Amino acid sequence: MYISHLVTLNLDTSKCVGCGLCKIVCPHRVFEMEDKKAKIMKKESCIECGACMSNCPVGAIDVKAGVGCAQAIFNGGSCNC
Amino acid sequence: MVETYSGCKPDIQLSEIMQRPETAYDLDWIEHLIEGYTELEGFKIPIISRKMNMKDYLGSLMVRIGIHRMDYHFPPGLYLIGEQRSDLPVIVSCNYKLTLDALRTALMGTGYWLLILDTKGVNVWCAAGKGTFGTEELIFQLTKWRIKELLNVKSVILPQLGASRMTPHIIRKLTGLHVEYGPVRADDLDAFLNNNRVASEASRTVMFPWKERLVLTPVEFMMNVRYLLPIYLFMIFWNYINFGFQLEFVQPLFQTLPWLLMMFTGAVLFPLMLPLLPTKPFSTKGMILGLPMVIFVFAYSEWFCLGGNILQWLSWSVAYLLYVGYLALNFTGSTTFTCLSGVDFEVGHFKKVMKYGGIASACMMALSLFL
Repeated sequence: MYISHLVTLNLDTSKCVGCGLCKIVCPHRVFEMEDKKAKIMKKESCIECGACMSNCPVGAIDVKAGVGCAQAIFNGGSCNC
Repeated sequence: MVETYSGCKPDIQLSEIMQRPETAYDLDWIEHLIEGYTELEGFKIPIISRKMNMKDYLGSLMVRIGIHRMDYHFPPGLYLIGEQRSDLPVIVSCNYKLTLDALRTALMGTGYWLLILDTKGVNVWCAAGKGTFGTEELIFQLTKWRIKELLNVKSVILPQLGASRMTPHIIRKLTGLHVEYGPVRADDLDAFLNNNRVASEASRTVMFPWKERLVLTPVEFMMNVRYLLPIYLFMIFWNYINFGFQLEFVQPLFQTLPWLLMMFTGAVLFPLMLPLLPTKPFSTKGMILGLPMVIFVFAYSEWFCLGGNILQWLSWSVAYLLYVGYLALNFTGSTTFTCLSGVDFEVGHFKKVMKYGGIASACMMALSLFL
């Protein structure tokens, strides 16, 4: 959909406790639960919002999360709205 | 440097959170929304109407065209919608009035508590990205209003798009309350509540249909219209240099029209046609859309008083395309599917395109004035 080959999303399955929060909060349904563990199914749809990382109780998910907004990047990191 | 988020401090203390300063908001301008008050253990809680009136519609229209867009807010705190009962759900939201209007008109059930966080008048998703709709603000409001004791609830319901800065285990640790995530859209909230608080896959998926893109176009256009005056002044200067040092004011008006056309292309046409445009980067999509507009301008160059110098046409063409590409790239902040890494990559490349394209355009224009 977008320039998604650079998505920084990573899941450490060994830490995952299967709470399912990452699946619930993801706006683009990137995660599914398989054998009581989370699994990344659609990495290309990830928008790096960080909802999965923030909600994971055990720190199993890592992503360089932020706002995918060109204006914010032109302004040096923060948008004006 | 790109601002990234790595998570809420795991050892954050309640006392730190409760020291945060509060912003004072004026309640008077939303008096028309308040149907009455209910009292609960000494707290006087406003009851919010579910109806929209002319003031609300007018306010929404103004915000959609960019007027008062940054201060369309109301006081955070606890509100009631409908009838007070002992088992009402607690819905958490932001203090952007457009969101409140969507929420209060969508909720058709008997009653709801509404806990509004102070997001400085910004919608849930943008506020979550900025951190204002986040763990600390939620804990602050839950503690300030003693939600667990006052309302005798075990959980609160958050909008799904507010999840990106929420850390449920810290919220539970410091407030004793569980977080449940409702659906993406307010319209699906009643269905969620009536289905044992289980949301369907469709209601958890963010879409970006043409109607949602369309409502963004007025503000995108209005935010750029202010540049027409400096562009017009520049065209007066260019016209003076290019056409025998004669000060003219009417021709430059027509020479400004192509810029207005490119502004419309980048701010209105581009959002509407977004899924149909080839390539993935927004800037190249924009430039592709701008190309037929540029061809149109020079096919009818006499309408726009641009003269017949081919080198100048090339120079303007590059400038017009860069402008449309820039406007298109700016739309990444309004979409629901661009990732930070991708936008960062694209901005890095387009900055170089703008730099070298700008230099090429300026050189061609300078050369044309001497040939």
